[in-house]
Amino acid sequence: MRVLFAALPAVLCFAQEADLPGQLARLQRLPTDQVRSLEARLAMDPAPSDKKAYHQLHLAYVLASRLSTEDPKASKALVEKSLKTFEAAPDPESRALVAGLLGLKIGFSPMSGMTLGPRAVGLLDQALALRPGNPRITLLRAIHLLHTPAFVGGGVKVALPLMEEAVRLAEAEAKPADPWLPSWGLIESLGWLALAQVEAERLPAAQQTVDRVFTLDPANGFVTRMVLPRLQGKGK
Amino acid sequence: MLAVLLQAALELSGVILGPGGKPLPGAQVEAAGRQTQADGRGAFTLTLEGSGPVEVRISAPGMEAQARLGRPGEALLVLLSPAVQGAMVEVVEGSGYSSQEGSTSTLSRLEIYTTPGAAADVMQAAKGLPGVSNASEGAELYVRGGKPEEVGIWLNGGRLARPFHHPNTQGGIFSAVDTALVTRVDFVPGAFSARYGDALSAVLDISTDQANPVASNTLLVTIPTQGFAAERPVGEGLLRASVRRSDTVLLDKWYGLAQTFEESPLSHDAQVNWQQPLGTGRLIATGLYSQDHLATDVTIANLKDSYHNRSETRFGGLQWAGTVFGQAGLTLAASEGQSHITWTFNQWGIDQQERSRSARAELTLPLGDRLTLEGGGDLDRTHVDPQGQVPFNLANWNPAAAARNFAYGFDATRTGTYLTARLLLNPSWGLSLGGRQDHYGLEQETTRDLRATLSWLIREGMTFRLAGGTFHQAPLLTQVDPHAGNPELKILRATHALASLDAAWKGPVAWNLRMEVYRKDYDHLVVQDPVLRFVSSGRGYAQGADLLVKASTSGWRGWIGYGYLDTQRKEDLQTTLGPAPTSVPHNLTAVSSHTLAPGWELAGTFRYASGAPVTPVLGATPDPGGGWDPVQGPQYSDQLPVYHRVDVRLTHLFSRWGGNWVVFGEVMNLLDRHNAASYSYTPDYTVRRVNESYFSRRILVAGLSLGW
Repeated sequence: MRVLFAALPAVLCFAQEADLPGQLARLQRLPTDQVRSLEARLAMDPAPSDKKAYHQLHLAYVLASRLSTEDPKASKALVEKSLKTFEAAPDPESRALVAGLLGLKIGFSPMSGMTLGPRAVGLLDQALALRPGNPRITLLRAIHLLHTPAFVGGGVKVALPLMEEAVRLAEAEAKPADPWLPSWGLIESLGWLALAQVEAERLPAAQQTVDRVFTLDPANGFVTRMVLPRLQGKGK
Repeated sequence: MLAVLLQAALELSGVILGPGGKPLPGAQVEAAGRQTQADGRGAFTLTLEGSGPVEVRISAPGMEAQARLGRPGEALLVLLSPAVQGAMVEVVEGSGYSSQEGSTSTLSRLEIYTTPGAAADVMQAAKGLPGVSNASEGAELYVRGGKPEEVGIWLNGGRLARPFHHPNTQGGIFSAVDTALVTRVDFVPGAFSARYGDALSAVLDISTDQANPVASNTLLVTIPTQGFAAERPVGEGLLRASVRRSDTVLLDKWYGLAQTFEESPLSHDAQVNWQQPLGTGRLIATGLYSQDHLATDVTIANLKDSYHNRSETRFGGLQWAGTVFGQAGLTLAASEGQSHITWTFNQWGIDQQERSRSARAELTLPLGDRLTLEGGGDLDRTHVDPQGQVPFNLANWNPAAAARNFAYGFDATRTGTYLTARLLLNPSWGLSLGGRQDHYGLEQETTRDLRATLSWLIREGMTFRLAGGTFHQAPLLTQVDPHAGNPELKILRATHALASLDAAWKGPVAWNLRMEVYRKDYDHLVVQDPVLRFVSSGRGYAQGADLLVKASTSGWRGWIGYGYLDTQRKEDLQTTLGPAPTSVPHNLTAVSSHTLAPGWELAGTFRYASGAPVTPVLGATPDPGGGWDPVQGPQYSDQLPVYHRVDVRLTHLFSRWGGNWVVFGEVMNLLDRHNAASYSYTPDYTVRRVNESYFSRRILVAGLSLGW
């Protein structure tokens, strides 16, 4: 792989100098084109495969989420492929992402929620039991609850406190010494919290959360695309 | 110098990578009406007329194309992934049904659980597929004119010989495999892979391998069945276990069946699975135990007496599946099964112990993107020890009639090797070519089979398949018994040919359609012989068409499976080619499931089958030893009345008190149809009576499942 770097055009070698783990931590806030670039950079990065595995799964989760409305067929194929590759991932953070992929799969076929839903919840609960207080797992659990119908124990009312908890945990989390360890979560949790607040008709609180997101990340795509239109729609 | 900088400002450059981050030479790059190809290092450069952003399309054969936004002067780094499966033909053997999402399937776990009348049982659910007969209420599978013993059943790589509860009553009422632990089911009703030996008609391959380990508990309480299943990750391993008990005593009391049962059907089963990462793969240990008994007053032919049945099955299997040499898949499996079946009826009865061991080694070797080889070997060794006697002519149960006596144990062995090549000819065409050789020790015969399937992806979502081959299976152990049968019998042979069309449409209403026509020719079927007991002079054929239509919208899903069958066999007492017990020309299953409100499902199933053939009794003659012997008409020239049944189920799913609840109420046989299972007679055969099937009256069952 190092031989390949030497053979690359100078302009690409320049691109390699950017901090890849740092960019991976900002993954969910990047435009889809940049996410795809990161996917390629990660594939050719000489880091050990065990360090890269989590980020490959995270990339697949993010891309599948984005494609789920634009290109459901490609999204479904990516979900299936990623589940096959990562379904037996042992670390709790990866298991939580596998649960996220199962959640996307349920979205393609809601009836499958009867069998896949408890499995996804089981993976998330297990991940939380192994890593209590982990902000990313807490956020993924909250997202799953948000998308679960209220009659089977989900909905915005139960998801909202968990979103707030994810934000608190992300604020308190120290940056890991190993840059390859997962370290995303604060801005993402705030974005989802804002969305849940809008859904719960807590519009002033949602506006405050949106302002907080824009202070940290002025061009946040998730809030711009997903939260603001809903907030403005309900505010009218 | 300035010219060089300006040139760079108009150049779009980048690198295209394929799987594993390796350069992808030859990848096509198009932008602003211009195009180029990536060089040997995967790099490309494209000169544009302007310096603004442009949409760039990157593609390569067999890869998913990507559209990206490119800006001259900035490098583009692109990783292409292999094309979505489905845009490329799937190279498979035969034309089967799988529980995997995306297949033309009516065997998903959800459907097994929620189809009314299927009793959440894998094999009862498989009976709804076209080509499988509805004529009996048992869980045994009569596939395309074949007998149940022609279907090979595998559990986690091990051959499962007797997976039924109450095996001698109307074809085994339920399977002994608990659906709660089942993760995948593959059912292939014809032209199946060369990896499966000693099966003449179809294969049912069940897996309990669970890839997403979680801690969970499931409690099942219904009127006839209670069960508990649990899953516990232990270290890197996963323990899954279930226990079930089924007792129909309440149903029998409520519905007036109690007077016929001295002991209501009672069954227990337990299943344990242990999964553990080991080396480059995963070890799966499977244990299964099932036990059942009943005692009832019945009339068989003209003899009324008490029938007692007791059976016990043990199965243990070990399977390791993993990778070797980087990319080759290796599966090693070994299993042992023991069964003990006892039944008595008047002076007749059998006490049979059977012990079978099997082992398999299989290597899957991908050779590039287009060719995969799968090959291996398997062996079975069965020891059977039957004791007792049955009527020589199974239509005459007169205690004075001639008997076939079983008194000695014997062994039967089989060793086989097989190889299958799956070749992707191009994205639309695929060919699977396989062969296997088996040596049967008791019969001292070696058989060879050639099997092939040609697949053509007509367009996305529509596949046409042509498949065929030869299939061998040993005769029943009772027929090759060296002391009570004929060990010189030849190995049974079937030749399959089929053509199928699968089509799927997505939209507000999602549709799946499968049409299949088939022909199956049998040789060396076993015919009764007054001197040699059995001879291999039989033959037969089965031909027909199967149709499956499946549709779903956001609030409704349903499917219809219809099979037309024309079959004749020269077998058993049928000494010329003629109708067989499996000659049931029309079979229909229709299922409709509606979401009434979130969490509320109303579903109904309608089953229809032509009446099963029976041999008429024209009269009777007194037997010198006492009693009456029947005078039979032409074999299977009469038939039972048409079978049909409607089952309706209301299911409520909700989450409360920390658990996921499924509560259901089901009316089985809503129309109170008194379906016939067989005919019986008065002692002198002057009056014929109908023996009704078990579910031959309207029955209300209810229950709940709680998962936490």
